[in-house]
Amino acid sequence: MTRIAAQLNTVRAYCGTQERLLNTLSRIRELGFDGVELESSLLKNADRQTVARHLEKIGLEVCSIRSTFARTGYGLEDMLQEAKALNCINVGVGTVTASYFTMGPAGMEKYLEQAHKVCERFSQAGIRPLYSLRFHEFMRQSDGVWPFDKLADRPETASYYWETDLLCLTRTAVKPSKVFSRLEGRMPVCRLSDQKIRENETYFFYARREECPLGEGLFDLPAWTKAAMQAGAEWFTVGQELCDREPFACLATSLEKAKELCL
Amino acid sequence: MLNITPAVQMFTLRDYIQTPEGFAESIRRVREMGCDTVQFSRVGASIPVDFITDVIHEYDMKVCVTHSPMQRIFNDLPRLIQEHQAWGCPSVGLGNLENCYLDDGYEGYCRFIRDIAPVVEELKKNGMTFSYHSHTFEFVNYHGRCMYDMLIEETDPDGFHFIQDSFWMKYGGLSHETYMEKVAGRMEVMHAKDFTMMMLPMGNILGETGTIGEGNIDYPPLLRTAARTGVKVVAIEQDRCQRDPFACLEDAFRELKKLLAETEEGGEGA
Repeated sequence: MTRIAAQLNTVRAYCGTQERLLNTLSRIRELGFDGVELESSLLKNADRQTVARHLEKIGLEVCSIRSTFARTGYGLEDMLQEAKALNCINVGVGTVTASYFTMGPAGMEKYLEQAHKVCERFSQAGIRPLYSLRFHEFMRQSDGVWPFDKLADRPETASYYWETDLLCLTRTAVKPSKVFSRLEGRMPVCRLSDQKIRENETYFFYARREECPLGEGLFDLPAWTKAAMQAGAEWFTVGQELCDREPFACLATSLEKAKELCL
Repeated sequence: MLNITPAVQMFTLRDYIQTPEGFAESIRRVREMGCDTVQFSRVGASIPVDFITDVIHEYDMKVCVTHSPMQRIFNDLPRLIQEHQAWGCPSVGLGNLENCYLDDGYEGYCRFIRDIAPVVEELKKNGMTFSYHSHTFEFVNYHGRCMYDMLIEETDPDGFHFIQDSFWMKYGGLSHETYMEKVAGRMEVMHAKDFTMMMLPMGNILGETGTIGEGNIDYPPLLRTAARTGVKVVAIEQDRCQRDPFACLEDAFRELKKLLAETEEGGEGA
């Protein structure tokens, strides 16, 4: 059974202090979410033990903690401690960063070498390194290959787990169901989203697209959530980078739709 | 092997087809690629119709559909029909719904549906159809309804047909196969271009029209669905080319022919 978590990033404006963060987590629980997808950057002003106790008290599980790949370089042990404190097994290792990606295939080799070390340390600690799949992994490099192919198939990153994101995948024109099927058993988290076309904003035939709560847009959510569940998604997270109304209201609307999709 | 004819949408060559000489040379080069079917779009308005007719006859080129100026569709339909008949072209197409409708939102779409009905009727009387080419803006939602769906549902299925475009469907995040099903039997011509990506500042990504085979669109299931839902012609097109447009078309045409030959009916998308 796939459970549903809120992306804390959606309500990032309500997390500035420990008190506000705890209050926000409570509101997320009250909306009916099973879990929350945390952002390490939003936890900086809070005491981990206090957050952990609060989460336990309100019955909200941490599905994943998102971080940058850069943090694996300067704060890897802290990432693991944070995960243990918050009882979370899925810990984000970000994405291939510009310093590697812009160097083409050679940069990817360097990334894989570095990622392998991260994977080994995560494995020792019993934590899953969760790769955040975005857009650029589907931009062919000079060798004609998608970086995604290397990340998914190479032994250096064989112990990566994956967090996929519908909005990102659709913007690359790849078929989400195909990506999910390829990551079967390795994709504990799938970020759901939807997209609509904004009225009267078309530039050189390009209509402006904007995020919206689930069910209000054009995505084929029934087919794609089914494919994600078949691939073994443990969590669906819902949220938006930008909201056209109060962010908690967006989360509530998306939660209702996500529940319907999970039936 | 799928029973679909590969074609070229002349919009890709719009810079080259504004004079009689350029038009004739472009048709010759397209024919040289092994392509015997084109869609007319943005052909120079000053080129005499008889000249165009002579050129396509000389090169034994078929014209599967056009994108015709909206003003002519509404105000010069008899002559437009004559021209299409001279070219053996069965459908008058509209490439882009214009702002006089779009700017009025929902009311504009309702008005377009009313205005186009007599045009469709007249085309039917002449054994022809009207073809609406979509981008992404038609998928805007007014009053809980997607305007593209309204165009499907509130127009004459026998005379109001569609041209869907593989790039623009992906740009909208749409399931193209689902929309092919919705217009099954009402789309003889489909546009095919690939979807390549360019990175912009702040990590944003621009989806750009690309040469088939160089981007991310998974064509075999798309082509199977096209064949099954009645598409007869797939016309390659590229709005912006990073190199010589003829070279882009040549590569795309070769790749499309290979895909059509190698894709079997049945399986995903069938």
